[in-house]
Amino acid sequence: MTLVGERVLWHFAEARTDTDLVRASVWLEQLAVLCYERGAGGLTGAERELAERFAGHERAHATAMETVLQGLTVTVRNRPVGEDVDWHLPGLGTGPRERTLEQLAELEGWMLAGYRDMVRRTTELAILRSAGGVMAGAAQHLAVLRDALGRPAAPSAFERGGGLPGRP
Amino acid sequence: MVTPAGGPAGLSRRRFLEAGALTGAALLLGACGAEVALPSRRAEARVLAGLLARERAAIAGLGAALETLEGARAAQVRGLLAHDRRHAAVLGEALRVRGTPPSAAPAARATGSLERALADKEAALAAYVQALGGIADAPLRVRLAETAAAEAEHAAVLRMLLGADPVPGAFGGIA
Repeated sequence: MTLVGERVLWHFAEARTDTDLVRASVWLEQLAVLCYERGAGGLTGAERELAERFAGHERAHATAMETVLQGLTVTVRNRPVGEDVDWHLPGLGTGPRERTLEQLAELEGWMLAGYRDMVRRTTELAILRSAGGVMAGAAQHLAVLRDALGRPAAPSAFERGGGLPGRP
Repeated sequence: MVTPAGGPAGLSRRRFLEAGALTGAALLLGACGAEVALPSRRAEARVLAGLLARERAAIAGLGAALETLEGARAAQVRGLLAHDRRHAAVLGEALRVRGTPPSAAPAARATGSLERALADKEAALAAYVQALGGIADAPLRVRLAETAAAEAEHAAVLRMLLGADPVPGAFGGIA
């Protein structure tokens, strides 16, 4: 597992209840917004626009999961900040465009792996339905990022997430 | 309710079995945030049969679209088709495990297009996401989530082949 994987999956692994799981997903979706915004700064043209649009999607994911959280009658405790981007994706937006796209793809892949864990652990209908929709969006982001990197967009019959092949 | 081992924690066997009869009501209650009764294997089989029908429609649609394509575009669709056949095999096996052998596959439609294949794919994706709440078996639920994510990727690939926006919305194009 990569460093990014360890740091993303930690949030889900620490969760002990449905509420914890949803809190983890809200925090990570908010982090993804910041990551795409930071990543956009390291991209140009259509790829920059793509990152900015995907940031908006991540914001919608965060809102959806926060709505689920409110349905569990709890609220968000804290929100990620710029330093959290540095911790999860060190150097994001400062390298060549390939590196920025790879880091964003890695984030999406590990978040998908985290949602996969969430789907395994919960039976709460509202969580499962929302997680499924968010996973669909994340998978499409991942497909587009892979394509931009010249890799197969849909390489597996079963998308388990995780790191990009070929990177330790 | 979090079930670390993936099982129906906190439910007696009798209540677990009774849950099947309550699935419809439980789904409604779940939408309101109430406690959800876990579906029975029979109820799961109904969900799986519906997914298999969707998957077969997607296979037929892709197969028909493939006949209209050549070169790299055909190779991409051939890859998606191979994935969908694996999805159908998983669903068929899950049905057999639940004592409900899958029905014979219907004949593929005679004509097709990428647009039609995309519509079939989007319908399959929505069905997989919807189905997650209808499966108590945690490993199978994860398999369906993995399949849903793959179907979402397929939809993005088909949209790219059509020259359309591969990610038209935040949730994979599910309304």
